[in-house]
Amino acid sequence: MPNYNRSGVILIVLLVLVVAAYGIVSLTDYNIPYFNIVEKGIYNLVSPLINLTTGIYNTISDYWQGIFQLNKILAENEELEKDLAAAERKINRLQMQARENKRLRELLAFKELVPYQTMGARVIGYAPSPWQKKMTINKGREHGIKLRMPVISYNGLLVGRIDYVGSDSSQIKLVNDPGFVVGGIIESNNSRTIGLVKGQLQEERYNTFNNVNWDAKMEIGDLILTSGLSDNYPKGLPIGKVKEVKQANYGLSQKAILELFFANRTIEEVLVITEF
Amino acid sequence: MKRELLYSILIIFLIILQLTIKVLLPDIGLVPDFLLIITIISAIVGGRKQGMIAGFFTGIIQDVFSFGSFGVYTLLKLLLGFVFGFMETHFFRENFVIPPLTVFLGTLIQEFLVILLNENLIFAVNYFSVLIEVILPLAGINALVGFIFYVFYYYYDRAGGQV
Repeated sequence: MPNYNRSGVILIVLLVLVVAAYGIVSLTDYNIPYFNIVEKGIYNLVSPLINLTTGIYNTISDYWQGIFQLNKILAENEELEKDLAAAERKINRLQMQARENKRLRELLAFKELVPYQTMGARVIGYAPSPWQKKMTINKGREHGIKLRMPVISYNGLLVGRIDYVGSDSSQIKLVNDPGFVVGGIIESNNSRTIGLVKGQLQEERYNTFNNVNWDAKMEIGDLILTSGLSDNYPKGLPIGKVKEVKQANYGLSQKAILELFFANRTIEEVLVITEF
Repeated sequence: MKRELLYSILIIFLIILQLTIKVLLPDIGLVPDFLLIITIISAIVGGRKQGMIAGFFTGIIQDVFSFGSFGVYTLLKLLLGFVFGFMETHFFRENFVIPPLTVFLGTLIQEFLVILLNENLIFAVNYFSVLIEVILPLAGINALVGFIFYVFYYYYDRAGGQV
């Protein structure tokens, strides 16, 4: 028979009561301000520590690379200068085309496509669970980040959306999280069919593209972009390409397996779309 | 007091390590669940009360950074801390096999219960492939890290320190 002391029993009862209350609150989605304060308090207490840790690591890593890879950096710099010159020539050409495009749009009375506003952020942590695909970034409420803002990589690929906002850091629900859903559209000459892109757990590099019309033309290699039909994401962000097409709902619809462009293992920095 | 302080510093260090290890080592596949390991080792060497306290705090942190709110990890880690705390008086400290085995078993229980208690996972996963690809490798890594932790604990304890 185990020995129980009074303070131990009181502690156990208290902890079980608190956890039961947490459980009820999270199951019913009922908002109790006190729990929110504790939750935010813990988040805001820990996130500066992880920001500091990754900051120190990045500084040391940068110095290390600077010292031991000087020749490589010089060669890379030379290469980048050439690329920059080529990019500048491309920009000039594009500016010319943009002016022409604007003039033609005015002639046709088309609505102008507004480019979105972005904010750069550094990845400072990942979810401590194999069942959640989330990243923590070093920008939060104080920097103007809000819930459900879309997040892209520096080359414009959809990474996810803001799922939790702390005072100076936020969490991103990644595009391959099992709870992630976004409207997608096929970008091909033959088809502009829409469907739902959903995250899945089994293979983190692949998502599913569901609820596609049974007669829609969808081929392996087709590009899937955000549809922009909801107000949550801008139109045209690349998500992935079709890897496999299947029948679903006994032939009443189609689904596809998407190979995601975004691979969360290599991402170090992201752009949060603050306005679109 | 010194013991509590050391213990708190260790938990904070492991929390930071668990959250940032993928940033520091981008190619790492599965991240060991340091928070579960510390909960179970605390429970088997310190008993139910210590196990529950460790489980409660590590669970809260894991929940806040995984699900964005309190929930399943707080409950599970607290319960695992309590259940494995019963082993405190039932194993010899010199037995280096029991701690990693307990961590292995604890990982299996925790991960299966997380799936069963999560509406996004319960009907979406292929249990067999998840067992082979995620749960068993994770349990193996946790057991190995748990063994290393326990060896450190054992020799630290023998040298006169106490965690």
